[in-house]
Formats: sequence, C-alpha cells, structure tokens
Amino acid sequence: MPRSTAWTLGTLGLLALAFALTWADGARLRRRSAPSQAAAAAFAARHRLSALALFAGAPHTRQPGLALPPDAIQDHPVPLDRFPIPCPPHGSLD
Amino acid sequence: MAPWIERQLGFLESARASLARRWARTLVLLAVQALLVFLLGSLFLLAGALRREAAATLAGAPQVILQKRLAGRLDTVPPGALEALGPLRGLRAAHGRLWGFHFDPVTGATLTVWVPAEPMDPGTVRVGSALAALRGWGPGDRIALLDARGEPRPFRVVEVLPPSLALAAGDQLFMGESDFRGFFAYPEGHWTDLALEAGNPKEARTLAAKAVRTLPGTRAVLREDLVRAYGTILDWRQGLGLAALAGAILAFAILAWDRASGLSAEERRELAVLRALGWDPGHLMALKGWEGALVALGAFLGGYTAAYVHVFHFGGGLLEPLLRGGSAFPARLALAPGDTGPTALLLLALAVAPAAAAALVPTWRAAAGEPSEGMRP
Repeated sequence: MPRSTAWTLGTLGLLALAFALTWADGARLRRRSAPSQAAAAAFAARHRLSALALFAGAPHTRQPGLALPPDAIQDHPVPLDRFPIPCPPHGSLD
Repeated sequence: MAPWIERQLGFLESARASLARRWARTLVLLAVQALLVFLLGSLFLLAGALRREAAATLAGAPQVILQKRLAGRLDTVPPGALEALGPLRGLRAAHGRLWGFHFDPVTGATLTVWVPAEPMDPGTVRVGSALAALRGWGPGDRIALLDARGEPRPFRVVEVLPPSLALAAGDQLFMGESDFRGFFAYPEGHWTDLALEAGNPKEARTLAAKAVRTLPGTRAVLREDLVRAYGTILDWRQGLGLAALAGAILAFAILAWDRASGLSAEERRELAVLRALGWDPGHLMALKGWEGALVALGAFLGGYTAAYVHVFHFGGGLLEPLLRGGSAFPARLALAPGDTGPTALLLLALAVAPAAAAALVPTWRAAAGEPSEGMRP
C-alpha cells in the first residue's frame, strides 16, 4: 500500500475514532449527570418548583407553561418568544 | 490481499491524488461542508440536550398546577380554595405555592423569588449558584433588596445552592413565607397558585378537570403541559436557528448542484484519458465515488465531532444565546447528550447526499460518451 494511501486511511481512521469516542463520552456524561438530574428532580419535587433557569430573559419565559398567550406581547410588541402554538393548550381544561 | 480490496485501495489512491491536484478547491469544499455539519450538529445536539435536561428536572414538578384568573389575567388564589378542594376524590395532597418575580436593578435580571416547602428563619435567604456567582454572594453575607415599597430590606444568605441544581434553581431566591408576604406586600392568606398531587398519577388530568369544576375561574396546567411548553419554545428557537442557517444550506445546495451539473474541462480530460487507457464506466464511478466519500466523510466526522465537543464540553456557547435567549446571567448547565443517533444520521445524509450527487451524476454522463470527446480542447 502506498504511503499516501496509508496516510489518507489513517486520517479517516482517526476521525472515525474521534466520532466513536463521542458516543463513549456521551455514555460517560449520561452516567455522570444521572445523580444530579435525580437530585434536581427531587429538589423540584420537595419545593414544588416549576420555574427552570432555562429561559431567564423575561418574566413570561421564566415559567412559560404558566404564562398566558398575551404575556409576551405585553413585554414587547414583536417578541420572538411569541410562540406560534399556545402552550399549554389552555382550552382543554377550562 | 483480496483483489477486490486491492482494487479499492487503488481507487482510493487515485482519488486522493486527484483531490490533492485540486487541493484548494478540495479544502474549500471540505471546510464549507464541515462548517455546515458543525453548525447544524451544534444546533440539534444543544436543543436535544436542553430538552432532555428540562424534562428530567420537571419530572419533579407538581402534577397539576391550578391558577386563578380574573378578567383573563392571572390573579392570586383566595383563602378557602385549598379547603374547597379537600373532599375531591383522587386528590392525595394540595398545597398553596408562593412565588413571584423580582427585577434586580443591579444586574438587570428578573429573579424568581420562591417560598420553599420547609420553613426558613425570618430575614434569611437561600440563593441559586448562578445568582450568587454574579452578585458575589456567599453564605453569611448580608444583602439588601428593594421591596414592593421601594425600601431596601436586609437579608442574610444562609446557603448557596450547589451548581448541580443550576437548572432547577440557578437564579432563584428562596425566602420564608412571612418575608415573602412582607417583601411583595402580598395579601395574607392568598396563594400564587395551588399544586395538586393525584393519588394515581395517571388520573392527574381527571383530577385537574374536577378541580377546575370545583373552583370556577381557574385553569389547570399539568406537568406534561410544562414539559411541552419548554419543548415548544426550544422547537421554535431551533426553527429560528434553522431559518438563519437556511442561507448557508442553500449556498451549499447551489454548490452541489453546480458540481452535479457538469465537470470542469480538466476533470473531463482526466476521465477521457482514463477511459482511453481502458477504464470502464464502473471504474470511473468508483473513482469519483471515493473522491466524494473522502470529502463527505471527512466533513461529517470532523464537523460532528467538533459540534459534540462544542456543545458538551464548551456549553454550546456559539448557539446558546439563540436557544436560551438573552439573559443577564444564564445559569451554566452541565449538559449530557440524549439519543444522538438520529442527529448523526441526519447530518450524515446531509453530508453524503450532495457529495454523492456532485461526484456521481456528472461522472456517469462523462463516462457514457466517447473518450475522444473529452480530450477535445
């Protein structure tokens, strides 16, 4: 096998190995995050929390499930957080 | 070595040499394709990981939240509502929740102030890790917050919550009930909303309907609605990201189409010479297939790996503001990937399909003609 072919195959092999390592690393991260996820869920259950620190930019995005559809517009006339789907489906249990 | 493998290695060497002769064009194609895979991969991986984290944390949220509405706006739940729900069949527990938003003029952030389930000493607060890091607060520190009357109210920080609770409470402030009512001038006996737990979690929806009938003017939000709301926002923002990247995707599609619609004069000559030397169309297709595969696989493997490292080891900083929105202090989350198989397959298809079209279609056309046609100037 010419050296250049071996070099090409070697480079592709290294990239494939890095790709495979992302799966192994993913499994490691999942194992590592499982206890903290369980702790976060237990903390939320103990204090009956529903406000995630995920979208912290505006009051209506702090607890989007509990916001009313016009809340975003109240903050800003053309907000990007004015979701196309009302969430949650308010009519279902009223 | 088996003859088939030997032949493929020969094609591979020819493909490598052909790409090396046009190294500048190959490098640009590889870089553009890898960048596209990186951006799309980062977007999909980050949104998937955030969705997974949100769902995992919300697994502990109340099964049903009951809100009071007055003239279409949210209102406080009046005293007596909890007692009215007491006799409901299927209700295991009902609690009033007290929470509110507090604008912090120092940071320009909106904090969530929460009354925890366990009682707290008056004048003390527990703070989330992101908030404490931003304000430089630590256990034992004395702080002052402007209350509803605009007066500074002193508190003592008794605990900074661990960073593992960043998503659940990274930017929250916990204080006792009496402090909360005094701080916000909240009416005595009123609740922000009610948290209900069903004896049988599968009956939560039925319980919610009964609760709404018992307390007219309220609306019920189920835990699954909360999860869906976060998912919807992430979908929406991911869609915005895809729309922003549409130009790049379109440019790449045009590039692929341009390649698919014809070969350069140099490539046509090269194929004609090979045909004249006795290569059949199948060999030429294999050669060009290897060329496309080298570029597409290199771009996919490199782009995907870079996207993975970017999201799960650097917090996805390039795209995080797009998915999480602007914030004075977004809590840093330690993300873990969920099922990344579909994302990897999608990106592989995106990388390989244009490359295959760009490599095989024009080759097939050129190989079908006479060698002498391709050698004409």
